[in-house]
Parts: sequence; structure tokens; C-alpha cells
Amino acid sequence: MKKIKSLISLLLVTALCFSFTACSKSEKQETTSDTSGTTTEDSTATVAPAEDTTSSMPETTIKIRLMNEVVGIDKVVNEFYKRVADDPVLSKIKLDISYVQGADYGDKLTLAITAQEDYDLMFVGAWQGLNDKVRDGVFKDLSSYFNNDAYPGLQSAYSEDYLKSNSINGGVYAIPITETFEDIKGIVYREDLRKKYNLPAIVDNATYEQYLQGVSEHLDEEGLIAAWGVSSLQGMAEFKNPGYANLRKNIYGFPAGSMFYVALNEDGTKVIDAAVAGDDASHWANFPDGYNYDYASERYVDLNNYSKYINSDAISTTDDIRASFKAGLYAATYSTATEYLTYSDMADTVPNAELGFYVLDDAQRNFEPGAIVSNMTAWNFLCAPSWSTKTDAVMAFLDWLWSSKENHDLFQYGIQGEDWEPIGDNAYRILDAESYKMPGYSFTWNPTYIRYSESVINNDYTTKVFDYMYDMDTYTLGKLAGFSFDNSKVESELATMSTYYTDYKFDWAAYGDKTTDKIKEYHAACVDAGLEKVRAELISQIQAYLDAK
Amino acid sequence: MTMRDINQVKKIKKKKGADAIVLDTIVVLVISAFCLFCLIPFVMLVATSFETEINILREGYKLWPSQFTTKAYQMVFDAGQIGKAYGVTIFITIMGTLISMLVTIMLAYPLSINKIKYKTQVTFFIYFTMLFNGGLVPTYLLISKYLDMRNNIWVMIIPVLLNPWNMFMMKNFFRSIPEELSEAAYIDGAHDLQILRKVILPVSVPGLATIGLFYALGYWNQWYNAMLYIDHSSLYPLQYYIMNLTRSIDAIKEMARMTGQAIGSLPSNSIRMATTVVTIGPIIFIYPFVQKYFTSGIMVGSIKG
Repeated sequence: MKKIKSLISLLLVTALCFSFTACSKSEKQETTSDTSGTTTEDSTATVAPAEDTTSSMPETTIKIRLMNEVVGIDKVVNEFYKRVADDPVLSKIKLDISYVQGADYGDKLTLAITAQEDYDLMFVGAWQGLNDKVRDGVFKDLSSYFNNDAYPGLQSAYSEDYLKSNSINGGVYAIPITETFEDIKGIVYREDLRKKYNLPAIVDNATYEQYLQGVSEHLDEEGLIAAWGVSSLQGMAEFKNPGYANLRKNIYGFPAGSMFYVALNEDGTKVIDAAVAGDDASHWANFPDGYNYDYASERYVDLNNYSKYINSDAISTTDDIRASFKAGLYAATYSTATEYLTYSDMADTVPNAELGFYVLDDAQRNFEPGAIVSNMTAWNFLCAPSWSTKTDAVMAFLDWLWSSKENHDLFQYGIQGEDWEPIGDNAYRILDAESYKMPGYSFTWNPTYIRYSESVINNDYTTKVFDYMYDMDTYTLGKLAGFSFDNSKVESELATMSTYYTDYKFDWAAYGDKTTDKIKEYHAACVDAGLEKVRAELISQIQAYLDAK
Repeated sequence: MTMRDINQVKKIKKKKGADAIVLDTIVVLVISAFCLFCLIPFVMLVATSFETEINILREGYKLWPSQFTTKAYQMVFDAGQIGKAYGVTIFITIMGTLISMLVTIMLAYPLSINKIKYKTQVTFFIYFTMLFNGGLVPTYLLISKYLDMRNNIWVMIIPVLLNPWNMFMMKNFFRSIPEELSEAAYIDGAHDLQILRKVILPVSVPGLATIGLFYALGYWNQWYNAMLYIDHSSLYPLQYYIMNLTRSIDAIKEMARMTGQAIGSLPSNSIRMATTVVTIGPIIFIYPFVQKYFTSGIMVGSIKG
């Protein structure tokens, strides 16, 4: 018993010591904040206001919550204060910018909304139930701040079309955050291997297949697992995908339990039909020429011709396929144009590696204007909670942020000359990657203020691809822009069909010569789950939308 | 052991037949194989934590790193907050376990005594919380809004102070102690607190050690409440800090992917292994100290049986 007593006493003393150490640094930080007027913690940054120069607006601290790590924000906020010191309104605004890691963001957003926590502006992803939250009245309609002469920064950064495409219930309940409407999809491949084995330049799917065939003959020599690295996340979903070409023919893809192909008439006023893979010919018969047959099933069958080039564990692998490609384990893999830049240091891991980028869509590969039919919608948004009383101050700050490239660059890239430096008018070079980190996709991105990273302008082809991608003339506004499918009437049917859509691995060419039978099996399961009901609902809602236009 | 005993043992050994030797060999082999099954993954884990990311991708997991690097550990320790996170975790583990044990004992002991009134109702009241709870949102509202415990280190202790399951185990342990012991003390003039402190607790060390270990492990692995209620990284416990560290690497990769930055080969697999080594290290040493109490706990049961 004595031993226990002394053990408990020892534990208590130790605990008290740790309680002292655990709390001491916070106190120190608070003390610092008292003397310097600046509180900095890893996840939050509060900077004292600039000197009070006017009494027109009360001193206001706006709390902003972003997704993913922000580093070094306090120096940027201090710089903001210096720049607005003479402004009667902005000089009264204090910024408190905090962040939550992406993995926890959805949960913490829901809880923050439930508890009506003290935030004035928060990041909300389209996938985080944005539409439902707007419908529930969680966010304010900010329409009055846009296209308003009192907010010239917002006016210049947000065109009427851009706002209209991203409006919800006819209002601006969510401020879209994006730089472009499409990241061009393609294949990144080993140009050095292509040259080494005298394979033809990759200009279309046939030459790409020749490349895969040629490289497959030298897998062991090159230490490759397979010619084409395919991940368990999306298989070969983008390869030979008719999506872009479909859109140019007024055929829209809707993932509503299954992938529905919805064909509109030429002037986009009437729905012709909606079809899914495995549907009988009657559903496809009235589709535009070249698409009036079950081309979705045809593609699934065709993918089997490529299964011999992909890794055998494509369906199940949890490895990061990009990292494996970078380690030299594959000769090609799926990539977007922006992702392609992340491989620019590949020669560090695979000596003498040279890379090429093959754009998958024919029209985009040929840089045809208007080739990308887009809804011009963003995935990322900033929203002002309905309970916030500081929205005027928030919008005044955002107006300043997007009023000039200089202001925008301050928050996006950090302090010029310390964290980054400009290269001409349209590019930048990072000077210290650790001193400032801002997930621009959750705060600062805007199509008006674009800078390419250094690796883009080092290569003529990537510059051309990026110029094309960021040029608004590349985009054509889709006829269904602004339409969103209300699935409330077919919720259970969609849930069941979605499970089948996930379970059947057509994009991985998993069934070989049994693919056609498997498509029939999948289709029959979807019919049992309520495919016709979903189809009817989808057609009805789209037609109603077109009629109302 | 005397010389006579030793000789007897030798005689017995000599008498061992071939079948016994075969059996012994099989037993030793099976136990050795089992030990290897336990050890190999752990050795692999440690080896991978010292391996380069490229080699992990190229060669998979191995028992010895082919290219030794401490990059993953550098990333874990360079972040500069790990000492603080250890401090927070040790604080909540020690304080939490002590207070939890106190509360658990103070509740379990009265419920184990037959003479207590409304014992059934109180027991049901506690049991009910094992079946139903308020749910995440009401709990969150209570703690963050009404109790205003956000960003407070005690939020990782107070809401999980009493575990009903542990309390019932403790209660059953107290019930297994012969009633005559406390009756004798009562006759000698001891009151209930004295009986608990001087009679019951000294004979309950195996039970206390077991439940204490359960609580300590619970607090050591605490991250969920930190995720919900803690925003300041200076108050992150070790597990949540480590979780954030690996997530921030994923976030850096995601940011690089979205902005087109080449970031080299960040330790991704190796840092997961390194963080496992860092987090299990201290708590694994508690087991040998409490193991003897588990053994004696089993023996107490066998004698009673």
C-alpha cells in the first residue's frame, strides 16, 4: 500500500509538472501577443488592426476559416495592414484567418454551422452539401455586393456570366473560387523511352498504343511494372471517353446512379432521349449522327484491348500511382496539364528521364477555340454565414483582395522578394516554399489574376497548353449550365444504382471477353433498381429547365 | 534448489522419450513461428521508417532498409511541436487516468455493496448510457457552446472521465472480494471510506491495474475530442498531432497537384511508419509493469474457484 501511495504521489507530481509545461508556452505566446499586438498560432492568425484613422466604421475583426494548411499568414496580414493604413474603412478591419485540414473539414463545417460558431467567411466545397445548406438558409445572398459600383474589385473579378453560372437559387450565396473551368486531361509518358526504342511521336490513340506496345517489350530492361500505370481510383475512365466530343454535339453526361447520356436537339430546347450503357437501340436511335448507337458499351469492350498494358493490380492498388510513375515504375499514366508540371523534377529520381504530355481530346489537342463546353461552375466557394453581422467588412476586404493583381498576389504567393518573385507579368518563381503556404483554391483563386508557375514557361508546349486552358475563348457555355439534378424523388433508386456503378469495374477492363454479358447483367440490375424512374425524372427535370429558360 | 533436486531433474530429463522430444520441438517451433509472426511486421515497420520513399515504391517493405535515411524522423521532429504534443498527451494520460480511476472507484464500490439503496436504478441509469447517447451534434453543442470548453485541455479529459464498461468491470471485481473482509472491518469500527481505502483497494490491485491500463490507453490514444474541440496546435495531443502531420503531407501533395509545383519525393509511407514508432514507444513500456498484476488477477480468480 505504501508503494502505491508513493507511486500515486509521484504520478501527481509528474502530472503537475507536465501540466505546467503543457500550458507554459501558450502563456508565453499570449504574453507576446500582448506586447506586439500580434497573436500567431499554427492554425490561426490574428493581427492587430492598423491605426484608427476614421470613425466611419467600428473596428471589426472578421474570422475566416479555410481548408488546408496556411503557413506564415501573419506577415501577409501585417503587410495588408500597412497597405490599407490610410483607408478609412479597411484600416478598421482585423483579420483572423484559421484553417482546418481537408480530411476533417466537412465534419467541422457541419458542426460549426450547427453551433453557429463565430465565423464570418468560410470555405465550402460543392461536395460538402453546399446546395442543401443554401436551401436551409445557412448562407447569405451576396448578390448586392457584386456588379455594384461601390465594390469595383468584385465587379472586375466577377463577370456577370461567371456569377450566373455559379448562382444557386438565383442568388450569389457562394462566391466561386477557381482559376479556370477545366484542367486539360491527358497522359504523361516517358519521351526518353519513346526516343530510345524509335517509337512514333504520340499524336493520337493509335500512336499511343504503339508506344505502349513498344515499351511493353522492354519492361524488365527498364525496371517497369507495366507500360501504363492505372490506379484503383479511376481506372481508364478518361481514355477514349466520349465526354468532350459529346458535349460539342449537345449530349450531356449526368452521373445519376449510372452515367446517363442526355441528348438535346440542335438548338438545345428539347430533350431527345437519355441513355445508359446496355440500353436497347431505341434509346440511342435518335441521338446525333455518329452517336446513334450504344457507344458507351462499345468503349467498355474496346478498353479490353489495353488491359495487357496496364498493371495487374489496377483495380485494387492503393499505391499513389503518380509517385510510382515518378519512381520510374511505369512508362505512362493519367495526368492533368497542371499535374504534369509536378513531374518536372523527375530526372532527380530517374536519371535522363524526359517527359511528354498527350492531350486525350482531339479538339483540345489541336487547340480548337470553343472546344470545351463547360458549365463554368466552380467546385470551391466562400460563403458568409447568415448569423454573421460583419458581412459588410468581409466584402470590403474581398473587394480589396480582388481589386488588383498586387493585392491578390500578396495573399496568394506571400511577400514579394521574400517568398516569391514575379517572372514578367504572368509567371512566378517560389523563393521559399516553407515560409508561406496558402491553399489558393480555398481562398484567393480568381480567373482574372493568373500567374503560371515557372515550370510552365520553361517549356513552349506547356505554355501553349496553359495559354489555351486559361483563355476564355476556349470555353463554350453549355446549354445546361446552371441545371442541377434534384434527386430527392429518386433517392433510394440512385443509392442502389450507384452501388452497382461502383461495383462493376468496366473502366478497368476487368471482364475481358465477358464484358458484353457483364454490361447486360449490370443493366438488368439497374432496371430492377429503378433505372426507368430515374431516367424519366432526369428527362422531366431537364426539359422543365429548358422550357423555363 | 538442492543437489538432490538437481539430480532428480537430471534423471527426469534422461527419461524423456523420443516422442516427448518431438513434441517439445514442435511446440518450440510453433511458438517461435508465432513470435516471428508478431515480430516481423514490427521489424518491417521500423525498417520502412528508415527507408527512402523511392525504394519503398520500387522494392516494397523489407526487413532491412536498402538505403538508410532519417528523413521521415526529421520531418516528424523538425515540425517543432512534437515535444509539446507529448507534454499534452502525458498530461491528459496521467491526470485523466488518475481522475477517471477516482471517479470509477467512487461509483463502482457503492454499487458493489448490497446495502445501498436505489442501486438497481443507478446501475440502470449508467447502463442506459451504454445503449443510447445524445449523439454528436447535441454533445458538441453542449461542450462547445454551453460549457465553453473549446480549446481547453480539460475537454480531452472531462467528457470521457467515466467509462461505464470499465465501471461495471470494477464493480464486478469489488463484488468478487469476500464480503467477510469488509464486515470484519465494519465490526472493528471502520466506516465505508476507511473500508474502501484500507481493506478493499489493497486487495484490488490487479483490478485497479487492469482498469487503469484501459483508461491510460484510452487517454494516450485520444484524438477525436481534440479534432472536435481543439483548434490551437499547441494543445494538440500526440495522436492528433501525428495525424495532422501525415495529413499535411497529403495536403502538400494535393496543393502541388493543383498548382503544378514539383515537390520532389516527400516521405509518405515512411513517415507513417516513423510516426507509429514515435507514438507506440512510450506506452509499450507500461505493459511489463502491469503484466504481473494481470497474472496475479488470474491467480486470484483460480484460488476462489
